[in-house]
Amino acid sequence: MAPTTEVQARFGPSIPGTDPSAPLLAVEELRVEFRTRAGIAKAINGVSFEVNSGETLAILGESGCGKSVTAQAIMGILDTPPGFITGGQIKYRGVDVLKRSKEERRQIRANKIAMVFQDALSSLNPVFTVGFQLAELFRKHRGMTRSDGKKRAIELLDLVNIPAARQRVNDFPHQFSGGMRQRVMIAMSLALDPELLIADEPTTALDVTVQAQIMNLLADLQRERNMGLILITHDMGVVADVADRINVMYAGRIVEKAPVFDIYAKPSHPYTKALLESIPRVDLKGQQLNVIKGLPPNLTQIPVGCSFSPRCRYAQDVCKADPPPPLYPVQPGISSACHFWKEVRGDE
Amino acid sequence: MSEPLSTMSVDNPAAPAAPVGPGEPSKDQSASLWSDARRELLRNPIFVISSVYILIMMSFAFVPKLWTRVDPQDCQLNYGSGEPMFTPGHWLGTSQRGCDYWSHTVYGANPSLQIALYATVGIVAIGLPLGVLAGFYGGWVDALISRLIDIVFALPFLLGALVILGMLRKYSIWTITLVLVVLGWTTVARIMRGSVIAAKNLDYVQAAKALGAKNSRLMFRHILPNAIAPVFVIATIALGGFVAAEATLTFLGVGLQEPAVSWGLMISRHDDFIETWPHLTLIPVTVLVGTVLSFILIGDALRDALDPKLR
Amino acid sequence: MGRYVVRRLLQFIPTVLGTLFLLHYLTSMAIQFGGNPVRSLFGDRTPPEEQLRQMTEQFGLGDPCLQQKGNPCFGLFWERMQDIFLRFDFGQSLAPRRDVTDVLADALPYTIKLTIIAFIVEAVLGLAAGVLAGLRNGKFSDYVVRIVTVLMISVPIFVSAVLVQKFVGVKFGNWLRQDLDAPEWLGRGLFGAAYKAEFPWLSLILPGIVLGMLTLASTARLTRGSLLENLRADYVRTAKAKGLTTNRVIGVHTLRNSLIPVVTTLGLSIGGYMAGAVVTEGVFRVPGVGFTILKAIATGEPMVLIGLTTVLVLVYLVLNLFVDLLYAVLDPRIRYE
Repeated sequence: MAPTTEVQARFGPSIPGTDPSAPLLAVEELRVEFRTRAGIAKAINGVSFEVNSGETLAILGESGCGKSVTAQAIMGILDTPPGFITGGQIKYRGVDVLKRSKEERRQIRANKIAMVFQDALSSLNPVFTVGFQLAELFRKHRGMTRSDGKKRAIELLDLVNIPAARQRVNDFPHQFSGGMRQRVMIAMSLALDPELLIADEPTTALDVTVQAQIMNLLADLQRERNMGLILITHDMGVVADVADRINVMYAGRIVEKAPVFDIYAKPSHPYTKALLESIPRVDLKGQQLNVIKGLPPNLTQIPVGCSFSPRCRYAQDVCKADPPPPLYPVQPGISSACHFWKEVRGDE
Repeated sequence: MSEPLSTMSVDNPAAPAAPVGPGEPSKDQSASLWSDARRELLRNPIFVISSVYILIMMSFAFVPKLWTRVDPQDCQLNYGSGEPMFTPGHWLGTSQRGCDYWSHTVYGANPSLQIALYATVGIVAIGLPLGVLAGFYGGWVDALISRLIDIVFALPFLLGALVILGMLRKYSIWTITLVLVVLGWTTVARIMRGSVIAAKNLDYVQAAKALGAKNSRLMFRHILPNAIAPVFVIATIALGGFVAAEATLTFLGVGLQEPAVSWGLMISRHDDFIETWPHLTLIPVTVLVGTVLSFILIGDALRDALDPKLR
Repeated sequence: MGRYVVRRLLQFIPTVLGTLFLLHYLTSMAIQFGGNPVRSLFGDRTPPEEQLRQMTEQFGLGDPCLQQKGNPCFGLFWERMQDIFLRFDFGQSLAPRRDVTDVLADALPYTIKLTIIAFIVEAVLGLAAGVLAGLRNGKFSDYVVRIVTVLMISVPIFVSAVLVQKFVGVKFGNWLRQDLDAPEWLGRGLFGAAYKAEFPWLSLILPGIVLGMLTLASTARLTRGSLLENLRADYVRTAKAKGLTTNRVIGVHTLRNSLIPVVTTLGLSIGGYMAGAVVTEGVFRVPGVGFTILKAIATGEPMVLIGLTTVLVLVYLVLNLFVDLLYAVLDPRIRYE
């Protein structure tokens, strides 16, 4: 497709039916299940959230809680089978992408929403140079020639502060260090100026010192470009400086939503509280670390009531008997899926 | 069938599902791997049918009297001039030489399966310890054994067997077995070396090592139970490969010679009459291919059952 | 890359010498335990001592070490290595008296043609079937490919050769020739029961297909497995997330990786053809290297047997080396370690 206008040349074709005033991304009541030999695993059970341009939303939770599945569902790269989206909507600028054709979803992936994966070593193709993998985007989506694509690839590597970009563009992924590889991954995601970036555990595979550099890089780029950013992580320390809002997920549900400051100051859900207590703290040296007892539920057999109740110190009979609690509004901007959020917060 | 042992890729099913603590030997875990595998196998119809078929062929080979009372050497040449006879008592008729064909089919299993069994025991007996040594000790031991494996592996299996037997000119079950073992052990050694290296690097083995477990204990309690599974797979497939190899060598004239009774000889003796009496070729072909196929299918089923990653 | 090539070449020399020594040792032992092979040239007759000694000497088998069981005959090996690598001399055949290299030169073109046909059959059909099955995992065509390949693996090559020759070459061929009055090239060439000099390529197609079937099935299975494994890989997910078309995600990102192990087996299968060629050439009477080897066994020409095998083993080793280098070209992780 030949670019017709200047805007298209930079951002790719626009998606028909989009409303620029609608939220950048709105996920509503999303449900995903995995149909496996062992049974049907309900990975996501009614998740809703919104992200706007220039905003960072952190999705926080233990491994297996459905964070990455959410991201893959938004991108449209869920492996089907075994994964199936069984309900809900994913709206990009007001358009439910689940109702759009495969081709349009591919255009959205290419131009509007990009993703950074956890393990850059396995997520980059081992047999192509990073230059090829970057230039490929310009060649296939912007109709550039090989040499122009390569020029842009070098610019991108410069952008993510990879030294000697001109030489390194011809290197293969395994020739980079872990941090540099993740920078390549970020460069790739930014290549076509996406409006929304989903970063799935972007720093988990990295050393602690490198983690901070990568997070700062992501935050800087997001601010400069006024992108929406969804940051998926299990690490409460990582999100504190970067995120605006946090959604805490547990067993395929969002259990708490709050601005980042409030979460740390006064968690409203027992799970969030337990997560915070399990962070090792320098000022409490010598004390036993609080761990969350038990394991997350088996997603093929989620209990009837609140799925956190078996591990919850606030749990009462109602938690196990009643259907899972809805998100109760706690304060403007804060909600909690706990019948006893008042006790958890220590209000009254 | 030049490399009957390597016709199939064998994934490494050695990696266990989850590492156990250093204090807890891997015994329980591998026991459950095997009992899970048994349950899985018994539910697999392909495995069950193939196993029953192999059991029947084994009984052909080792208790032929169960199936026929006719001695395969008891041939009546006066039956005719090279024409198979269908007379009472010979339900598959006779061979060209007036020998009972059913009895030949039953007794013909013996050399193939004997050679396959001995050769498989042989390649495991040589390949397994060498592979374990190479994988476990590494360094110059590994370098030496790996080089040896490379050298033997560079002799094409069937071609090598053909030449050695052609020079030796003594064709018996034992010489054929010996040649097959000498040229065939490398596959087992390679697989074993790889899976021992994989098992050695598992966290709990490292942990046991850090706790000061002796080499012998490391090897027999921690590494071997986890690394041995692929050898079962490869050995089963090798059984089929050797049955085919024996028949091929016999067909080429460097295997068993008449008056021995074997499927390979039955095929090579009668393939020229396939137009007039196709059954004389097709009967031995069917039992032979069925045997090879069954061993391969059992090997496949074993691999699927022993690989926890696939479950 | 340079260092890898140098290292691989340095490893190659001892492997070649080791393999040739192993072949030498095994054949020497066969002579030591099986008795002087020259004797068998006379069949049941007992040859005069003097004539036997002379002929044994002519065959290069006069070395006394060949009568001591277990003696590795290092001296003889050294002589033969010099003959082979310095004088390009692989010994002589006796009846008729010719250099083995000449015998080889006569036979080789047929075997090369046969190998080319077999390789094309294997590569094209094997890859196509494997890719089809991999992309349609769990669907009907996948099951068909899996069942057919496992059946093909279970049929020893001499069985498939005999069955194809008799049923296609003879029965179907006779029908074409007699009932349909088919043209020569079709009835006698393509569907002939044996090699015919008038149809140097056509009459090799049937044996070539049989030979290719030997490894076709394992190539298809390997391709399928490798493709399935790579389709699950993280970088394929990345390629999808980049908004690339399905054709590009599979055709470029997945296949490029999946084919690395397949190329290796394709290369090695050419080595497998050398043994398989003995069977197919024997059955279809193609006067190639394999057929000559069979003839040498039947008539008891030890030097032809050893000489031709040595050549085939050398070719196999060179192919192995070539495949290893190709591997490094295809997989950058090996190239730069």
